[in-house]
Amino acid sequence: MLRPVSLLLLSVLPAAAEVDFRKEIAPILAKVCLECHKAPAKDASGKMVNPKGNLRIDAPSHLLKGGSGGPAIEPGDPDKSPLYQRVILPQNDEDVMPPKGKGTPLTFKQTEALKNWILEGAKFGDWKGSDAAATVTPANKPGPKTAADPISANLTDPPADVMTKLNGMGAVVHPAAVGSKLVSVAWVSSTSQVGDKEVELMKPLANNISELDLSDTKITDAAMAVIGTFPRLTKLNISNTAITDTGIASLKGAPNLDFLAAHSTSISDTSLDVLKGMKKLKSVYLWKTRVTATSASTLQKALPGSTVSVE
Amino acid sequence: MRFNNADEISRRQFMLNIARTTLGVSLAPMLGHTVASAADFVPTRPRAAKSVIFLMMSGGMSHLDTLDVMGKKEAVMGKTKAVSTSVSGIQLSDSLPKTAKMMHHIAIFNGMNTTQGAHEQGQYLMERSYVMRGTIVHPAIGSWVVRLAGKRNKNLPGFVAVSTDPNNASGGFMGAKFSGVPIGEPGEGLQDSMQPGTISKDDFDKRLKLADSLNNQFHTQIRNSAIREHKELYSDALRLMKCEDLKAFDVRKEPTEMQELYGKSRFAQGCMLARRLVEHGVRYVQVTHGGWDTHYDNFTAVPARCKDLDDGLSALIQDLHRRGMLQDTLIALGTEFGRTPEIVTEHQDGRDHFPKAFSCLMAGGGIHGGVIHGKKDDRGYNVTDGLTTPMDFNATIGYALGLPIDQVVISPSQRPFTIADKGKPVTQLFT
Repeated sequence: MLRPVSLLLLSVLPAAAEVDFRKEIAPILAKVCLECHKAPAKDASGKMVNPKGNLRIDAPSHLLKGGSGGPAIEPGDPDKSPLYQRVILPQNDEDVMPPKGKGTPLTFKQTEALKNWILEGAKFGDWKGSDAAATVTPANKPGPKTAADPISANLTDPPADVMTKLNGMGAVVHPAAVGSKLVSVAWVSSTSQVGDKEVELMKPLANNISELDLSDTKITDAAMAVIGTFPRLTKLNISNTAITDTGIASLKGAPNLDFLAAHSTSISDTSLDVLKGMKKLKSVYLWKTRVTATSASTLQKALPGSTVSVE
Repeated sequence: MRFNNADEISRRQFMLNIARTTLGVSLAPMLGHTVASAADFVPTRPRAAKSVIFLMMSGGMSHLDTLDVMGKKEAVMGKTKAVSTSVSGIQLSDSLPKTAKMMHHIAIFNGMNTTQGAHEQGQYLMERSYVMRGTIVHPAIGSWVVRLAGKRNKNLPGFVAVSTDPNNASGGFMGAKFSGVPIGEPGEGLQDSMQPGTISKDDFDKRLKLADSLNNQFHTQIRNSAIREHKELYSDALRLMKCEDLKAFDVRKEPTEMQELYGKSRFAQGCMLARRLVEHGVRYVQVTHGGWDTHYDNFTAVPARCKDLDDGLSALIQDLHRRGMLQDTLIALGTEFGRTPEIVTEHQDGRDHFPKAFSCLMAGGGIHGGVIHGKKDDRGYNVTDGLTTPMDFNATIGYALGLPIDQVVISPSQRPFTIADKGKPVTQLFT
């Protein structure tokens, strides 16, 4: 049990400054890690060498993105940051960094600096590393085509800054699956604060959004006009909102929709004509709407292999 | 630094006590401020389930009298009869008539097999994927899920344990922040999280302002993780007290038709609470239903347990389905072991522990309904096909969520662990 007296003792210690990335961390990384974790380059024999574990540490974007094993840093949490965890492993551990014989282990002072820097939020200050030289940002760089998935064909990476911003606002935004450029967006926390304005903010992700959950929010039919322009939207939840038949009419612009949950709305049979034209629809949830059981079964027949549920 | 030597619990307790005495507020010990957000998690598959509702049948649920009926063999079945379900060719016990109507959403695991024949050890293996040891406490599956997939609602805990012994929902070596937040009575909501009624809002805000001004001075002078943790815990607690998401815990907000659908039993109310919680982004809810240890009078005790189970489970499936939430929510029903096919007549027709063969089920979460995985012989004695261990069952939960089930987490004792040990997911059950 901590006694108040230790608080008093601590209060007379001198104040410590934040860790400066450029001064304290960058030199460690450059000296110990960079040789193996830099941009792909040709070695002496002309052979292309990729960074080990696909992890590059030569720019903030690469450090945050991480390598094959996921992000290298979890800002604020050294326990979840491999960049820190791997350098403090015992020397006989096969995962220790730098690997045996490939450089000097970090000193305690260095690992502590690294830990504190991550604890303080892993801020890079004005350091840009190789990001400064990059003329193409990841957002507008054309990615490799994924032939197996026609929906993702010709799709570019979602803008990371928009995703980060929305996440900061309480949305849960992440790639739809590992390696996918499609994005899943769900507004989960404090949904009464979420409305048409937030939907506007998602516009830069329009091409990438495949799953969208806006249930329980304050969105109106105006938001549906925006959502209706998301070409790759496959799954939409607008349950328990003020959406009406007018909003559903906007969905004509979302031809790939196969899942629609809209329970507890004022949607009526009027909407079913629109939905009948959306041939990819497989699952439709209309409990507590004005849609009657008879019309629901008509819709189910019009959409082969679908489930239209009203109760 | 000496400060860091204080262990997590006592430090936290200290902060909570200080907050109680100086501010007149009670804080819920549920604030995983350093738990990652779900935004940082990328599922291995698109459309993976988002949440799990784990229904733990504690005591050892008799497979023969519930999910794996053996036709008309009276020597094995005793008084239990079979009832047909919504899926032709599949029968359940006549004690589960409502669940039978939901069979098209359900996959039954009839090849369950465990190595543990005692309650505590059996539950431990089912709920944690590892055999109980004296030297370490393994994290509960709910803790693993939150650790690997993060929290979806930043204002709510990632893991809630309803009517569950907190020891069965502990974060183990992952620490208290990954433990399930315990809810004893589902009908009573979350305790210690309301603003105290005796203090006016003005006074409350005034006290906070004062506390803040004192704190800020202190925080700028001292850089220390323990102090930072306190500050975060404290602001998390404040956010929670003012938060609309807290209503997720209040089943009294459910309309009469919902109360009627689920019924009044503690277990069914727990199921209703679980639905509210996953609706608000809670990752993992465990609801425990006890009393399955039917050594005595099995054929009276099991139908009584089944009544509450049948009400809760069938309502939960129906409710999640019509809200369009069943694809996103995996319902998993587990138990520590089954019960003997032999009926012990000297114990008023009881059944004893039987780890060799038992049954569990899953529904939703992308599971293909209306199927049976695994098979026992015609006495319900030996698994003859599709043998599934608790580790395989947990791996399947992980797979449903799109978790990297082979991701290793190193314990503070430097040992490697995974969510399902060496379990293999039953992937053919997924659509």
